[in-house]
Amino acid sequence: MQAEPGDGTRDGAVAVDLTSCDREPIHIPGAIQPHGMLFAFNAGNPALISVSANVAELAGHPPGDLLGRPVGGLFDDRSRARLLAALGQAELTAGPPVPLCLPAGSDTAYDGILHRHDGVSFLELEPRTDESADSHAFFRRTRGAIKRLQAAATLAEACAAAASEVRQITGFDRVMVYRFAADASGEVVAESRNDTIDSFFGLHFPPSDIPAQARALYVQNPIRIIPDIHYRPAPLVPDRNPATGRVIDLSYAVLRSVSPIHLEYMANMGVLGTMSVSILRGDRLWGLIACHNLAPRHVSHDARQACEMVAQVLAWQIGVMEEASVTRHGLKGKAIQRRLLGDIEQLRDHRVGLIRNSEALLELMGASGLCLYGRDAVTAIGRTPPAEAIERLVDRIDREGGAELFQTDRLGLLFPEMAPFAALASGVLAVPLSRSPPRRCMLWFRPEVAQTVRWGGNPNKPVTIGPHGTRLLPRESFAAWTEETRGRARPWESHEIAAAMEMRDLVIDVILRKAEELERVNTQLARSNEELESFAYVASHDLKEPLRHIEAFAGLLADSIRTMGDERLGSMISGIEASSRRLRNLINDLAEFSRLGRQAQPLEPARLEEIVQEAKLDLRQRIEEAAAELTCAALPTVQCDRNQMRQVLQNLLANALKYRHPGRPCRIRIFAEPEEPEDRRGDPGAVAQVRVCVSDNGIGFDPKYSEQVFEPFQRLHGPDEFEGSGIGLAICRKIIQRHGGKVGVDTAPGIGSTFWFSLPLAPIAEPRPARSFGEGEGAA
Amino acid sequence: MERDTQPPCILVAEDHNHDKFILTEVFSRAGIAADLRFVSDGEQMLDYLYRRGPFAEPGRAPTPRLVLLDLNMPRLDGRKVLRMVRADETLRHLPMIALSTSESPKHINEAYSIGINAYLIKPASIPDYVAKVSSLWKFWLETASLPATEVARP
Repeated sequence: MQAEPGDGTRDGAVAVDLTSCDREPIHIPGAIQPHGMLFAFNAGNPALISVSANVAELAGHPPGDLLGRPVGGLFDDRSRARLLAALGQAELTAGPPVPLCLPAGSDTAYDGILHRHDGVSFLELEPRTDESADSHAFFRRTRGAIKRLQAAATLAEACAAAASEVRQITGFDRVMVYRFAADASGEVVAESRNDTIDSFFGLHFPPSDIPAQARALYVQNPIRIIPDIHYRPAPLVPDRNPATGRVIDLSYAVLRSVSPIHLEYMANMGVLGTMSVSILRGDRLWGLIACHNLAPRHVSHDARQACEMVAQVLAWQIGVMEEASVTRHGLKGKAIQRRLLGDIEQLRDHRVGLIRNSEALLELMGASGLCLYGRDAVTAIGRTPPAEAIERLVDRIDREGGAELFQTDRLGLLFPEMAPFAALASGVLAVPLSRSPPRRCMLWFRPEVAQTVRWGGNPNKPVTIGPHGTRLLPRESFAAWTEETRGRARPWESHEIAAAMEMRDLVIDVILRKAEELERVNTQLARSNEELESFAYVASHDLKEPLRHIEAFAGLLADSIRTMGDERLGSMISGIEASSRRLRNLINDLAEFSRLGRQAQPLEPARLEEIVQEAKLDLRQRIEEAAAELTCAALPTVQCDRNQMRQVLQNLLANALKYRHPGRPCRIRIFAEPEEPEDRRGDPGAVAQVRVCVSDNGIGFDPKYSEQVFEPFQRLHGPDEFEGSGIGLAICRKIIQRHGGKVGVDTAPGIGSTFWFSLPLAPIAEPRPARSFGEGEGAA
Repeated sequence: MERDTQPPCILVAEDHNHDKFILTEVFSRAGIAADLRFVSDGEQMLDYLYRRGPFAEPGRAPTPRLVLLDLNMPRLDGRKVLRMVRADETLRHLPMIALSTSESPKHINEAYSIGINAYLIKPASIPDYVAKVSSLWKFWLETASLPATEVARP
């Protein structure tokens, strides 16, 4: 935008938009603010090459008369002597302003401010005020300000102190400390004001409000003042350096005329006088001390210097405090880690530990959500996208390459499929917990910035149309900024990333330690199981031999005794024989039980109906004895060890026959129903299961024993009532557990029992239509 | 060759005295007149078959028509003895029947694969035992034609 104040463009003939703002060459406006005068001459040659046009009114010389004349010729002897002395200094800007009177011989005093830039020396004259003379006041003010600033304990306190000091020095209605974010948007982090003006504290301003070249200028020239925004600029005559042909660069001029866009912006806020002082951390513009006044206000050179000093001290304080804050953040992180580790060890579960410390963790990371992602489980803390979205995100991150760490502050822009979750997850920091897939990772989430800031543009204010259209109103520029920051989060800072990595190391340590422990326990268990099984087998085998001898001798004795015809002796020998037989059954069952683990076959699809038929055939004789009516519904194909499954069904059927009710015909029904998974959410890939039931109308039993009946050698009835070792159901349970299923019983004394077990369905779809499953019982 | 008037000799390799007693009783109750000779382990059995050591004295070790062999014996066990007998030209035709407590198919198959002629599981009940021994006798000594056995001289 080449529009220059004073050449008519302020009347609105030129189209202005916000992007043109970024291109406006504000350092070469070709004009100054008219409350002072500017004289320019080439270094080493006092002949004036350019003056501001207002010298005609203020100094009584038309610009044309002055050009080419030595600068000193303007002043009386005393003023000239002071000026020449100042010009003789090696560093022009180092000294205090030079008191000069103009026109020569008058009492109108000015502060002469010198600087050199781009081969040109500048003398700027600003009206001298009374306080300009009082150098003691300057020291008193700055010393007090520095003391109070250094007493501040926190960054916020330091900023507030700086704002308050600057307001005391300058008398502005509102003094703010404005902090730039990484995207150059800003926030008012401290404020000092009187009652006549609104508060801007906590408000955010979009980057376009202080465009890039303005920010660059603030780095070069830390102070800018506009005593009256309604000024008429005084053009430079001429605006080019005749020696170089270049437009004269006013980057360091205090009187530099500012952008009309800026003036309009200020006018729209109702501000007539402003000043801003840069807060510089090295070459980085950390922020500004921005001053607003409802009426025009000029600030003397000395007061400005005092403000600059305040800004510098604040910058040092900020440096110290930012370092301290990173250190504190680190310490806090360590403390949280220690507590987390303690909790994890105590609770023996890193997930529960993380949940317990979630608030502190989220605060530490400046995140609003955390998710621990694993194929087996997704643990979400705080505000996170749904598990399916996280799963897709992790897949996507995986595909993007096996980076050690993934971070973004604009997830929705990177992966459009994640855009709908911008409000929850515009910022993502994903830290892998395992190197190779299946992936486990820790994800931190940050919301969209727009969700977290208070707007500086007051949406309740009526829109006033300025000469450059509505876009220059603060409110409108915010609307533009909202668009710009949509889907973007506050970026992850390096110390936050470091904290996340530390948290990762901690969790990995815990996971690894747990895995090792688990493996050790498993090995031990497997070994002791093996030992137990082989012990049981050997024991039962070795028990069998003496028992066989007892039985044989009893048999031999029985033959001899029967011929003697002694009934008492006969019943004794029968007792020995019966006991031996029972012992033999027990030992056989024990051997069977111990063999289960060792003779296991791999699980294969098998038709349950066929297995039921085999079991029925095995029990043919007993079914006939009991005159039992046995019906079998359609049964599915299941994943099983066929022999073991036959054993389970044999046992359950044999029980149903054995414990039949003496007062009614024995009826046994075998049927299947779909098993309701207990927790589908925890395991989305769960295999469908079926529940197979063997239901009888027998004697039943008290349901309080329904767990106990599955324990080995637990019997509910005396051996004289019913034969059996009491291991059949224990064998069933062991087999079903091996198949990944469960066993149970629903029973009522005197009514009957339904023993059931669950099994995984065969992965291959069964040819039989599903509707017949569990329906249409047919007589077996 | 033994004289025909003598009852047929059956050599029983059995380490357990109870089993020897029971087997003797079972033979008697089955009404079988057999000349039961017992050895307690594999080494004794080889001594008997080769008529050496305590069996060197003439008449101490009549040639058996049938051997009943417990497969699990101390020192030299039944399987090894069986292998050695099958490897010996002069003994390999000797009918040998396993008497065992093991029902394991693995044990049964193994015994047949190294040359057992039949595998009997020792019954626990006396009537069962008597029935098994009777049919064993009927088949091997009254039904089947056995090879003529020459026993090697030391």
